[in-house]
Amino acid sequence: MTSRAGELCAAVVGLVLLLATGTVAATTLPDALFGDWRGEGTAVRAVTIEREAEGFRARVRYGDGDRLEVAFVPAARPEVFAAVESRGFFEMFSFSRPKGPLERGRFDWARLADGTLYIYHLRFADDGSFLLDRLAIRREGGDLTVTLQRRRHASAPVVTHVRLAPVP
Amino acid sequence: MIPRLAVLLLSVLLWNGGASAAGVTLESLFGSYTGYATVVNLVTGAREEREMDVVLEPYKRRGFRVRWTNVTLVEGRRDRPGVKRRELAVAFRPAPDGSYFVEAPEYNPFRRKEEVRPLAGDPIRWAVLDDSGLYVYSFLVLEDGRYELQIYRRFPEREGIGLFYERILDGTVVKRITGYAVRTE
Repeated sequence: MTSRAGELCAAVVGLVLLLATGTVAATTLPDALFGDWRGEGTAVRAVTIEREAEGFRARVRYGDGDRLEVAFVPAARPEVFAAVESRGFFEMFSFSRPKGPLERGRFDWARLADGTLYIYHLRFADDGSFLLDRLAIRREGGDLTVTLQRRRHASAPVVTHVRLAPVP
Repeated sequence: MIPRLAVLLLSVLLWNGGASAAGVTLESLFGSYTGYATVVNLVTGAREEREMDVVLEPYKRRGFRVRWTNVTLVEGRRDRPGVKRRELAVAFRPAPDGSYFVEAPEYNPFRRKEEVRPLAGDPIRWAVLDDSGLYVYSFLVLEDGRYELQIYRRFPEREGIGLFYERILDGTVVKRITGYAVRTE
């Protein structure tokens, strides 16, 4: 009986460890990062992060009026998130090679490190020039701090830092 | 004194810009070059000198290929233990609907064309030719989700080509290479 109890206990511990490992692989964001924040920043004016069935959706409104909205799901790599890509009708039934980031004109992904969410947005123009945004999003008290590093083509990047307040 | 120096520097910069902006074409860059480059590790501050051989040549229809060999010198010499030699080549073809170039995969009739998947470790490589030179980009998402961007700029300079390279790790420039190679006869 004692031996059986030990085996059962080991199995339960093993199952818990397995589930825990699975949770790490399919990680989501800390609760603190979900919400809606606004501010008067010149680079970023608003950030909304919502839960989705399998991951999260991020909405960013830039100071120049441009908007970014991406749904992310856990990628194969831990703490890394892939953007959900919608494929066109003809692309779904095409036998040709699926489009790559250059042909799609963009590539988005995200990662979580030390409580900071990093969202990356790489956008290609028709002439091969590009824009690469790296948004570092972190909670500080009730506020959200956002550091945007924007690189255009081969030019030196421009870094801006904003603090956004929660929307009541 | 300072304004005069500023004007002089500005004149030099404008003169160099004008020289390289005189309509850079692939054909004007095609050729074989040999020269030197200085590598600076911006994290450690370490500097290395290397010899480089570069060949820029046509590839299929309207594409191009770059082949280069780097020899990292030891105490300024290549006949010393510890010398490193590296050969690299990459080919590009024109993008179907743009004025830039995409990496041309090696032809393999037995392999199905596959999607480029950066989150699985596939690099995105492309090239852009503009009035300031030929830019080759190599973009990679690392295992931990950070990115690595390598930028090679080759441009006409004196009797050869200049090289400017940066390796950017998640937004920080960690390595910079500057060099010059003369056209060989």
